Amino acid sequence: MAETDSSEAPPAASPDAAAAPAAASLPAAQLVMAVALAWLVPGLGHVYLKRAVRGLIFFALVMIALIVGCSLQGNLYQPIRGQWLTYLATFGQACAGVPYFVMRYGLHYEGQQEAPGYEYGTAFLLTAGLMNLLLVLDAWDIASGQKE
Amino acid sequence: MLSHFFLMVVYALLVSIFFTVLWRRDRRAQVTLFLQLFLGMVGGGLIVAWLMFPFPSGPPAPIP
Repeated sequence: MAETDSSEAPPAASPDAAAAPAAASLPAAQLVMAVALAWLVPGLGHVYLKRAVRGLIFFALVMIALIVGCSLQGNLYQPIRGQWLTYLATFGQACAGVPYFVMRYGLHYEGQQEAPGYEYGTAFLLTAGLMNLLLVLDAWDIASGQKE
Repeated sequence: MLSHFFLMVVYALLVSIFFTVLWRRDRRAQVTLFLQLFLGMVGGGLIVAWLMFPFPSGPPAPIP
């Protein structure tokens, strides 16, 4: 199913080539599948859309961000009543998909506020989730034919 | 090893590679964008740190 990314390069290599309309839209079922896979596992949506190399790079980047964030004991947010920013932060981190839920409910990871790397770790964990949110949107664009 | 600068460089590296792969396909354009993002983040951080240097840090904040 997957092919290498070497065939993805546009013939005229302009900096904005990635934003140009590229292909026809996939059927709705495949579009939903690509978006769902992209959210569940970072990069899997791109692998499903035959962008295997890109998908593996994205997977590695998001996982490295998560691992560094955990090793620094960053905060894994959960909603706190009356503190609305915690809802937003929880949403941002939950965008990492399955890894977030494995950390939260499988490993019971929470972070440690007294750790010296707490703030940095929180930034890494938030960034991992938000990177995957961008990957979901990118998978949507590719599947709907708005991007190559 | 876990200095502020090291963590800033790691963060800048991750984010720069991510947006480079996300936004560019051509290799030359990728290198250009990567350097712009990476040097912008690390250099910007150093400039802000340099500008903050004259200001006293004050006592450490209590841990709630």
